[in-house]
Amino acid sequence: MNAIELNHICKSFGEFAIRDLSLTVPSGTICGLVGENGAGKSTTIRLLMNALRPDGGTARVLGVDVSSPEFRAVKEDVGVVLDEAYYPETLTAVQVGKVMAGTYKRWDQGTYDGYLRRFDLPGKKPFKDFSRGMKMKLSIAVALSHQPKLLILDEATSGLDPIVRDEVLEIFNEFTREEDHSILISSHILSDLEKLCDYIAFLHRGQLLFCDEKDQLLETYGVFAGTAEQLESLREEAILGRESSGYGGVRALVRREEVPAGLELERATVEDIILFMVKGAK
Amino acid sequence: MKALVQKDFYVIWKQMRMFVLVLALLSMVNSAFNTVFLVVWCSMLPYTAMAYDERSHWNQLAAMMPYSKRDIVLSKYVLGWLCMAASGVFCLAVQAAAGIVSGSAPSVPTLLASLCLGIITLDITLPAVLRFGVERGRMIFMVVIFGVAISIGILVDMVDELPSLPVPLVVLLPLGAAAGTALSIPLSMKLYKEN
Repeated sequence: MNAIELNHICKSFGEFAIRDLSLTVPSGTICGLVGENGAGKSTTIRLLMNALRPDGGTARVLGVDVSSPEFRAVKEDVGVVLDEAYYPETLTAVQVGKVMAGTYKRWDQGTYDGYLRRFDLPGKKPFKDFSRGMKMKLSIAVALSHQPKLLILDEATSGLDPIVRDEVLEIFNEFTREEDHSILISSHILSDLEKLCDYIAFLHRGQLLFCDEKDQLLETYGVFAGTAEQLESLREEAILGRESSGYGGVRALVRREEVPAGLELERATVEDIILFMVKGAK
Repeated sequence: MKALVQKDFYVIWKQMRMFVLVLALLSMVNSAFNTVFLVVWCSMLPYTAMAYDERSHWNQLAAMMPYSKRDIVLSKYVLGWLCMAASGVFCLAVQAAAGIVSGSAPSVPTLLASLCLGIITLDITLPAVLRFGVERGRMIFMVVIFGVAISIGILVDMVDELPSLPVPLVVLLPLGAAAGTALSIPLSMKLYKEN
């Protein structure tokens, strides 16, 4: 079963539109959703959770059409962390726990209390006095404390210091050790996604440029570093994006199978692939 | 829905402490105007909770949780009803206690009329606030409160005499509250969904 299926989703907001978005996240995998600000990542997440109605296309989460009445019950199985923690500012972490205990049928107070301790979050401090990192940690604690099968994380690791970020990524990794657990995570921190994800989906101006297995992406592309003349000798189809590296040199993202076998290429990171593709698209 | 009411209760708790103080002071003066004013004032408490919700964009998060739109809308009505009922009981208790000294008994008919007016106020204002938000809905709210206040001014003298009032007014207020609620809730749900 697929954890997430988006089929030909369209949603227009006037100047900005999600166009013909089809995306599949197989159950048991982690998919990283990448894109610049305003690319449509948060909109995609809102469409997935039926917080927005699409103009066209269908969305299914954990096998259920999100527009059907049955989807409300499916939300019990989905832990969501949005780009901001939108809890009313006067609430405390203890009060959030009590409200969530009445919200989710499978709320596990012990797990929640455990995360509060693990993240060193004060129980009785009003939410408005939390730092951004503390707010995100509280959101993550809530998302993980009702026994979800799917985590949808929108910039969940932004604002966290590197040590906590690493710990949180480890928690997400632990989460997917259950074979029916899946994650869709959007992030600007591409190194996090490279560390965590099985699939990378790249949204650019409302369109999905690709959704591929991370390992396959890293095998498919390489970074050429050399002179402009050397680059010009390659076939145009081999080059996806280029940049000047100074002193007359160039760097370019190339398709490994399209370049001569003897040509030495650097290993491309997910960040290289995304940045070159954005430059190429421009 | 219980969780949503509980959340709103936590949000307005600090405000309520101030309300309780004002309630205690005004309740000691056993007058129909004070009772009506207090109960109608308490019907505004859901808007305080909604203002906090708007400021924190809580609705974006709530849309990700297993709440139905019906739960979200109904919870605001329930919060208003609970606040009004609590203020009514509180008024009655304080007036009864004060009456031991002054010898005046609290007026239950006045209280019931106040509750009906509070419910009608909520019925008229909540759909607008749900549709336009607390900031923009506040204008509509002020107009309604002004209208209700004028009506109260006219009614106060009559309400003081409630036991001798003609039956239609005694029946009219509860009927108005019931009919208003029956119309207001579906309207609120429609407007909230459109929002």
